[in-house]
Amino acid sequence: MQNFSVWKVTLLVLVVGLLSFVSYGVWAAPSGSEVLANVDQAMKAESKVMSQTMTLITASGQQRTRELQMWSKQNPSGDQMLARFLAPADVRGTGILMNAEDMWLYLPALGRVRRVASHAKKGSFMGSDLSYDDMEQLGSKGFCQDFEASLLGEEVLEGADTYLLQLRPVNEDSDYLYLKMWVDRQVWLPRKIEYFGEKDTVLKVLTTWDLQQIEGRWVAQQMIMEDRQKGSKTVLDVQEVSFAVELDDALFSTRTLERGL
Amino acid sequence: MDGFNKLVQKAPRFTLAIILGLTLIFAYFVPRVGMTTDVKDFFPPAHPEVLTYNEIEAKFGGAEYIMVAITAPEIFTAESLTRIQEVTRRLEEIQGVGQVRSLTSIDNVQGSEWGIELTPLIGDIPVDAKALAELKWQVLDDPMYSGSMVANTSDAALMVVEVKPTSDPVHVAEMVQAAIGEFSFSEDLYVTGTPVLNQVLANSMKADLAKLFPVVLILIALVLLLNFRTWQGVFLPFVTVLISVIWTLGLMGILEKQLSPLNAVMPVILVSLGSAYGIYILSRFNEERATGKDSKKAITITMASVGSAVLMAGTTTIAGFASNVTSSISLMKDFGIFTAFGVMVALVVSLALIPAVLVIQAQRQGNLTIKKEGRKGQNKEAGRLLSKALSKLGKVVVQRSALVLVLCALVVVGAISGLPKLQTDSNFFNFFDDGSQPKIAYDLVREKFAGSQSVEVVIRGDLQDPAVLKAMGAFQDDLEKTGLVGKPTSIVNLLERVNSALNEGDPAFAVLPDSRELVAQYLLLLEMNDEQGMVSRMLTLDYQEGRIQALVKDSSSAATAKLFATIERLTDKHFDTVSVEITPTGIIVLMNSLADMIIEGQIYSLIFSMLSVFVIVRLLLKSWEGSILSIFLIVLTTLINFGLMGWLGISLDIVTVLISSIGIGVGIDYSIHVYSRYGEERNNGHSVGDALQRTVTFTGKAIATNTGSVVAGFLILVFSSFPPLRYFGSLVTITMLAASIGSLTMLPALISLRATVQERLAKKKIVEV
Repeated sequence: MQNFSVWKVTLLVLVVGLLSFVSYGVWAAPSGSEVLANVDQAMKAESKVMSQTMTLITASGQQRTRELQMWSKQNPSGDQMLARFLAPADVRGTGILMNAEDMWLYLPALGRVRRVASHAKKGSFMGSDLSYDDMEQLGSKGFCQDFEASLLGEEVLEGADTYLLQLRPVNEDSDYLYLKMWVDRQVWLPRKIEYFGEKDTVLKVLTTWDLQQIEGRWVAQQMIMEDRQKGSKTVLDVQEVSFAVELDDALFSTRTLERGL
Repeated sequence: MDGFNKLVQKAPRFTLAIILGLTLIFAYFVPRVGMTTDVKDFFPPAHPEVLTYNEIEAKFGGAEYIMVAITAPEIFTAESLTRIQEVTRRLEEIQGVGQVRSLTSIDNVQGSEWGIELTPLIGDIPVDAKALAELKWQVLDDPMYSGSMVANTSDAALMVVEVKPTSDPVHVAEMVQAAIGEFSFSEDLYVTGTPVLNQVLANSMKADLAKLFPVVLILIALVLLLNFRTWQGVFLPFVTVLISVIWTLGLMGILEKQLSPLNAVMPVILVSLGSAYGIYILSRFNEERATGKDSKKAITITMASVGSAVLMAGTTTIAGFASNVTSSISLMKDFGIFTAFGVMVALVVSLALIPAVLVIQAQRQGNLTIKKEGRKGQNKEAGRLLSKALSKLGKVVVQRSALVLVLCALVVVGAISGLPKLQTDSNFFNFFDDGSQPKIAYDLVREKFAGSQSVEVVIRGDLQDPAVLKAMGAFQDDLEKTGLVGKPTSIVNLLERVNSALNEGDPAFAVLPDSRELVAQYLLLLEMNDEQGMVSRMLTLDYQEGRIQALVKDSSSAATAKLFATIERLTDKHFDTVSVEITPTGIIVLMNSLADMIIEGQIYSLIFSMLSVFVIVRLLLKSWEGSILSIFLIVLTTLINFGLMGWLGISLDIVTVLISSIGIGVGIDYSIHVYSRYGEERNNGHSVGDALQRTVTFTGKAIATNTGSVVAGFLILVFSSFPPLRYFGSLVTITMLAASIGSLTMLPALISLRATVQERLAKKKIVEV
């Protein structure tokens, strides 16, 4: 009888030991949500000043490039953004001010600020292949709020070691059924995101290029979003970016929009 | 010819095996033959109009639209608007549908004291009467929507479904039709537009042929049965034409060609014409057997004599169809080639299969005595009546040749005077009867809205230049004033609206901005809010190309031609001072150039077939007089056909255009028969008058039978549900009758008159001497 108990204990110890050994291997890799949290951490910024060019290329090969400077700041009441076009010449000076709810526009040729009521925030970002949601997720808002991540595995993508995540939207009204994201293990930036729609069709593909360290942070100097449905793509090139700036709330006012900085 | 006949008669089983083998091979490919009604398929792929059209589609998104109209006693009720929303959403789900514009989906640009709104025209559907009345007033008062999205009378609304350029419009139309059928209120929904028409056309055409083709077969079988009253008399010509249809469709399958509204009648043509060869051979065979010859000898004699006549008739028919290769319309070319091939097959198979079977039969049965003597007697009785009539006709023609000619001339002049009234039409909408579903929808959309087909005017130049935009605006205004189109829209309308909206919605500012910067900045504003492609459907990304769209009220060829003349005039008027390039395009442009190509193709193919038939006839008849007379008669027949079409208001379209080539290829046979028989009689020592009299009496009988069988086949088309097929059937019938009657009256009368005049001249000479 005692012998039997000894056996029992030994077996238990063995099983527990084996289980912990096996699970050590599993827990050595971070979970999907840990990876995604790291991504958000790497990309989020309290405040940011950036100038970038946006090139739209249609399926039939027509192109249009615009350059704009953007100031953005995270606020408890919602994020704020001010943008001003630098080129081409005929739209230079056109400004946009956006907060959580509203959008104001300044047209220099008209010489005044008008409020714009539109459902633009549901749609594409300034006519590009990125939606406002895409833009926010890649910027200040991050992905964790909108998605639940699970780790699918590890892959080598374009010579970089990556974690492959599957992101399922938390909210019903998402544009996508799910996302696949390849996260660089070194710098925690997404190298590639595939946006999936109904019937597992790839709607859009985002790729990031030319990763550089600026002010101690890793930044993708180029992002390319391809719309697989329309065949068009948008290329975003960062010209200058700075995170070490203090942005006053007063900057995000219609006054600044009209008069300039 | 001799070698071929000998081979067939020596190795009949081998001949049959070859025919059977080839038939099986061709039959394998028959199921591959599809059906197309895409207007673009009528054009050669590199046709400039098609290239322009495709370019526009690629640049601006689709240019083919499916229109779904909804009727209700009042559109501005919560119920009606909800229906529109439901249908719009359902249609948007369909794969291949780009965008659906309707009251519930379009964006509105509106100004207010605080700024600008770029929001859906109808956000949440209002439920209370006051809000609905306000909405109604706002929408009906807005020229952008009134008459285009909703009828002025507010009892109908339109949903414009854009077909993605990469999708097959006919397939999308099918899915739209299916989706519409799901709604409980589907009887209030009307679907139209070119893709829908094409889809309905393709389906109904198939159904029509499936219905008519067996009837044609039965009728031909009946004619054969009446004529021969033996199983082989029905079976042999029948099998011949079936083989020719299988080979032809098989060849089309191998070459991956498609049937179209145009060559869908081809099987009917092949059956009607192809059976004739077998008839000639079998009747001669029976005739020889009736004189007491044994089967083998009868076959040899038949093939030696009638074989060459059949060959001659077949060759001219082939030439008539082949003449369509000169057409620049791709499908027309295909029709010509394949029908010519089919006739050739019928000809060759008639000359090989029929004697081969007869030989085998003779070998098996030995020399049987002629069956069914009594029946023959009956036949002779009926034949005697015909002979009597023909003999009388012959007498009249010879003795009263001048009178006959005057009568003929009267008929010809009367018919031909309708020529100036002849019109061309390539509008597929006219392929439907007035009471048919597609026509009802088409007429409803025309009545309540501008129309269901669009004209697209493409402007190449600097589209941010206010001068260019102003010219476009003035052009659009003038175009609208002509009443030929609904309200034309372009980027100009959007810019005007934005200008007004940014100026507190002041209507005084609903004009184009003066400065280039303002234009650029307005465009920027619009592009930032361009979820629905309001801008990208009107303007390319680089601002170097834009389009003006207008719905066309009347898409008949005549109205389209007028519209294009107007566009050209207005282009000269408004765009003279700015450096732009203007190109009108759209499905109706394709339709319009199709009409031009029909006429042009028709003229070339007529000349070509006349020349080739003339050469063939000259070679075979070896007589200048005969060939010139034959051609003269066929020219008149062709003119009578066109003249009658003018009188009857039947347009020359993609189906009726085929009549003249059939008329020439087949109609010439009668003249050939008449003239060759006349030559034979003269050689036998008969006088001109006697020879003509005998010709009309004896050859007349063959011609009457032949005409009867050909007409029987084509007359069935009168029961088609498509007006063009009905016209086609009756016109071919008239042409065949004209050609056969002409060959028995006018032709001998001319020969007789000529002989009389010569005689008199000769007498005069003698007197003078």
